[in-house]
Amino acid sequence: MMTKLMNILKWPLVLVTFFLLYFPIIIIAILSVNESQSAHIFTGFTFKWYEEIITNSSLRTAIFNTFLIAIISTAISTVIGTAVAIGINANSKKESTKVLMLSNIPIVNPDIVTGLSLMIVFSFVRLKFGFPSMLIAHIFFSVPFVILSVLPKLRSLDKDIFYGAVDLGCTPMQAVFKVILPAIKTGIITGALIAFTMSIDDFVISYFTTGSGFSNFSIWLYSRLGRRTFSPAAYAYNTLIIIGTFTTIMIMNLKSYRKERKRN
Amino acid sequence: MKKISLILFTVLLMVSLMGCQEKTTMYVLNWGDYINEEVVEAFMEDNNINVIVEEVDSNEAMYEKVRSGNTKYDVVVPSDYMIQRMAEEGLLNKLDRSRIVDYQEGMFEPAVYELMEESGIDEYAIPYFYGSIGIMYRNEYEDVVMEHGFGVLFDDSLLPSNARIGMYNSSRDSVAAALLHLGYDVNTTDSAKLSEAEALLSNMDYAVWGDDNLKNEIVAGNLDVALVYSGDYFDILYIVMDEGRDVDFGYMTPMHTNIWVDAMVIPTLSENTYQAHLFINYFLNVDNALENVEYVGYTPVITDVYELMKEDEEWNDITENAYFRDFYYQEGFIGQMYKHVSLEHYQVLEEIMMRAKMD
Repeated sequence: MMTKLMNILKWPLVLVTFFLLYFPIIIIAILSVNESQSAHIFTGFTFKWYEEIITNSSLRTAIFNTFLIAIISTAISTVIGTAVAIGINANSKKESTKVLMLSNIPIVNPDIVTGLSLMIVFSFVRLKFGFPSMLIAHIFFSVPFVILSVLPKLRSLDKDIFYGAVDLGCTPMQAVFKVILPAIKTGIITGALIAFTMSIDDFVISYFTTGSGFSNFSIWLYSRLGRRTFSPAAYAYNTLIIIGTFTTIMIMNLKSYRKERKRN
Repeated sequence: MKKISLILFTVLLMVSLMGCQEKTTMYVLNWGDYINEEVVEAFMEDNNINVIVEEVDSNEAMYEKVRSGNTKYDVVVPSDYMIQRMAEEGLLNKLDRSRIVDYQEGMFEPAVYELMEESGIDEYAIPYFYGSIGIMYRNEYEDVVMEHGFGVLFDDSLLPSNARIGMYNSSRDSVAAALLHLGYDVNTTDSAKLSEAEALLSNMDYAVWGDDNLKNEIVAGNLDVALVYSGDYFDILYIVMDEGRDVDFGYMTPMHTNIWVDAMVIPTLSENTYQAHLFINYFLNVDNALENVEYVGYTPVITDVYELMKEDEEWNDITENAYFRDFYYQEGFIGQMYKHVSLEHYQVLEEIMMRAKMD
C-alpha cells in the first residue's frame, strides 16, 4: 500500500521540490532581462542591466570587493586550515577532539553572534574598519570549514605513510609537502571551494565588520533596499553567478564522467 | 613554510599600506543611491580631497555607526528625529556657519526650515532634501483623495467597499497618520489621543501593511490608496516616466501632515571638520545642488534651486505630476516634524500597531 502510494507520488514530489528550488532562480533570471525596472510587468527583452554591472561604478566596486575578499580570504584560510588539520591529525585522539571541538564552535555560532563579537574585538584592538577587518573576519569563519573538509581525508590516510616517507629519506617538511598534501588534494580543494562560496555569500558578518565605506555586494544591495528601487543590474549579477556555478558543475561532472569511461 | 610566511607577510604589508594616502580622506555616511556621484567627484577634484561615501538603509543604522565610532565619519545625513537624538547625546558638532560661506539667511524653504528651528536641530544640520508623508492613489480615486486627505485611510465609507487600502508597516508612521487626521500633534504622548488614533487604525481593514512595496502595489493596481512617503512616490514616478508608461497614479499631501527632512551633520568624532564644512557648503551652491537634485529627484530644500527648476522646461513636465510644492503644498498648509521620542513611547506605538493589525 505504502510503496504503491509512494510510486504514484514519486514524480509529483520530485517536481514540486525542483520547482521550489529553481522557481526563484528563474524569476531572477527573467527580471534580469526585463526592460522595465518594476518587477510586476515585463515590458521587453533587454541586456542593458548586464551592461550596467560595468557602467554602474558603485555596483562594480562592490562586486570587485566581494571577489577581492573572497579570493584572498580563501587563499589564506585554506593554508591555515590545512596546516591546522594536519596538526590536529598528528596529535593523540584526546588532544585532537579538544581542538576540533574548539574549531567547530564558530560553525555552530549564529552569524550575528560571530559578527558582533568580531566587531567588538576589532574595535577593542583599534583595527581599521573596512578591508582589513572584513578580510580577517572572512578568514576567521572560513578556517573551520577548511579544517572540516580536510580532516576526513587525512584520517583515511594510512597513519604510517608519513613515517614511510621519512624512512625513505624525506625530511619531515618534505614528507608533508610531497606525500601528505598530494594525498589530501581533493579535501583541500573542497575546503577552498566551501570557503570561497561562504565568503561570496556572506552578509551578516560582513555587515558588522566593515567600515570606511568598504562594502561587498550584499551590503551594497541591503543599503539600497531602504528607500530606493534598486537597479535590476543586481539581478543580472545574480544570474551571472548562477550561470557561472552551473557551468563549473557541468564541466566538473563531464570531466569525471569522461575519466570513468576511460577507465572502463 | 618560508614561502607561506612570505606570502602572508606581503598580504599584511599590502593591507597596512592601503590605509596610507597623501590626500585627506573624508568619510560620508549616506542613504543608498542618495547623492549624485558626479557632484562628489567634482568636489574631490576642486578641493583635492578623497571622499568615500558609505551607504546604509536606516536612521537607526546611521546612529549605531556614528555612536560606535569604528569609522570616523565626517558628514552624515540622518533625518529630523535622529539628528535630534544624536545632538542630545552629544554625538554632533555644532556647525560653524562662518565656514559655510554659501549659507544665507532664508535660503531654505520656510516650510521645512522653520520646523527645523523649532525642534532645535538647525544649529547642527544643513538640510539636504525634504518631503512629506501623504497619500498615493490610483487616478480613479483622485477626487475623493483630494477632498478628504488622510480621511480615505480611516473612514471606509468614503471609498467603495472593494477598494484596497495600504498602510505603512511602521508604528511611528501609521500612528502619526491617524493623529494627523484627528488634528493632533504627531509627537503627542497623551494616552487619550493615542487611543483615539488606535481606534481609527483598528476599525479599518487594510489590505496590505507594507513598506516601500506599497508604491509598487499602487502602480501594479493591487492597491487603490496607501500611505507613502513623498520620496517613495518620486522614486517610482521617475521609473514609470522613464519607461514611457502611463502615469495613472498620483500623490497628495494633506493640509496637515508630517514633514521629514534629511540633513547633513558633522559628528564630534570627525577628524576632518574643515573638509566636512567644505563638503556641506559644496551642496549649497545652486549649480551643484541643482545637479544633485536632478539625480536624486526629491524636493530641493534651497528655494533658488526650486525656482530654477520651475523655469526649466524639462522639469516643468514633472510639475504636472505633482513634483513641486506649489502643486501639492496647498494654501494654509500646516506641517509638523517628528521629534525624538523615548524608548517607552516607541513601545507604546509599537503595541498600538500590533493591536490594530490583529483586529
